[in-house]
Amino acid sequence: MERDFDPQASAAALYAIGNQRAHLADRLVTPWWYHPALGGVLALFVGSFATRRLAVVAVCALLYLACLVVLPHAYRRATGVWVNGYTPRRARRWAFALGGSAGGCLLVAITAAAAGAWPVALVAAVVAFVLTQVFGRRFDDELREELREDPEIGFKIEEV
Amino acid sequence: MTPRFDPVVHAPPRLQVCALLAPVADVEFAVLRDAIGVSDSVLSKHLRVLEEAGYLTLHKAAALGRVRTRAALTPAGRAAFDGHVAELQRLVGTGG
Repeated sequence: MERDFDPQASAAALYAIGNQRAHLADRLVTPWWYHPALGGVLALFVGSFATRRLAVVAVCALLYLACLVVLPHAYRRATGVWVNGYTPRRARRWAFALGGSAGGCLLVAITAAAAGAWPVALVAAVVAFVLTQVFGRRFDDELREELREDPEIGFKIEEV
Repeated sequence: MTPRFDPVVHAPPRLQVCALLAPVADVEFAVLRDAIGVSDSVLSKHLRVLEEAGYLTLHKAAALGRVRTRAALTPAGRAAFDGHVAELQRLVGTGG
């Protein structure tokens, strides 16, 4: 089998891989509601610390965790594909930024609530919502770019 | 990544399946079928070959009365695909 494997056939195979990746990039259009929903439940959770009522925080935490399960399912149903944040080589930095910003905003809200500065928790909630939109969309953009231009795949080989 | 020819990954439909699965967590059967342009039975056959090699897992889930099958590469499948791509690049002269 390997004898049939000349440079031209190899280039054609690499080109076919690149074409499939480009097809996948075209398909990976995140539903418009995904990031607002994710940012919304995160903001609700972060903002709940402003109430300084454990029951409210617990309900919002459960709602947030439930959405972390439900949203990927809904994304899969809409696109037929699921991308975890850690597989893409370049785009994953935005997934880490998203996770880091969520954790940071939660920490700020908890600290502020403990210090009695509840308006700070509300500001942290707004920041969490905004950063989810920014980092989430940056992740999507860079993932599509990565799929179309992955130098490891050699998609740019044109002399086939 | 060490270049390594892999006869399981080498067949064009399986190479394309791996190309679609490698950068993501999982892909639905119907999406793979439409992207590669083969029939259900042909795709099933190729997925079974990859599954038997330990390169792929299939997960069936029922939703709203429909069974949806999702395919995902295993770490061994990802490594085999990366090695095969490296071998292709070596042959073409673009790889390290």
